[in-house]
Amino acid sequence: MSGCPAFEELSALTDGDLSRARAVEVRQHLARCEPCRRQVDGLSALKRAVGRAYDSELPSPTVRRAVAAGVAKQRRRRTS
Amino acid sequence: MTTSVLPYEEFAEVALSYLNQLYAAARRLTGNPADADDLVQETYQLAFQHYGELRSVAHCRAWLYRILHRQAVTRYRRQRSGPQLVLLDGGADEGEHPTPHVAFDGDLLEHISLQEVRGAIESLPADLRIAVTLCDIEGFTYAEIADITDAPVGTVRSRIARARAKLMRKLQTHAEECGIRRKTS
Repeated sequence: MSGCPAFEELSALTDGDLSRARAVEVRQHLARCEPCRRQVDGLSALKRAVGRAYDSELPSPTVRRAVAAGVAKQRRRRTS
Repeated sequence: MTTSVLPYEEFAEVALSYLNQLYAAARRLTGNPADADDLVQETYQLAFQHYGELRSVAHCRAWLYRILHRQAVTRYRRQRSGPQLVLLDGGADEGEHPTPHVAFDGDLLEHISLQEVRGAIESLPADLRIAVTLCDIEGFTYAEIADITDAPVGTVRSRIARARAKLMRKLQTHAEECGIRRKTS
């Protein structure tokens, strides 16, 4: 369909990062353009999949201790 | 040295609450626990030294990520000519136009493992992967990602779109190779 928003704009729409005015225009376009609507559905599904792709890796006790030691060191420096 | 309006104890408490998130981000950046350990420790060391530059605790999370990414890039550049690449990099970005030829069928993702999705993410060029994971995993806005990665907002938007186009293409190809059919034509 001619006048379709760029892929980049559809991508930004799924992130809520289009200006309010442009988002309204793009949503009006989506209401009458099936291919763009499918594209946005695909983008939203992909965003969710990327968001859950990784398990949370936790830092080792060594890192926790080192960071805590950094906090204490800085505190001593500030109070001395 | 800048005098901070932010009490140190308040800063330290907030900063430490992001340790797990920063470590997970460091693992994704470096691809291995040893480099992630070093990167996180360096990040906190710098944060404690420079916390006076932080305007308020509301900006603390993005500020810590900014330090983490700057430090990752510094380490990457330092070791680039050495035997090991610290920053996990899936290869060069050809800068192609991001529009996929066909709309991606999101239902295909129900049949694709998270491991496959991770593999596709890790095959992305570093700039694209960092932008899309900061957006989709960490939930930062484009403006925050621009600040964290020292790039204009327009570049961030373009990187995220290019990353998604590449992911769609890769996952679509994988689905076709595995005989996973599109729901609609």
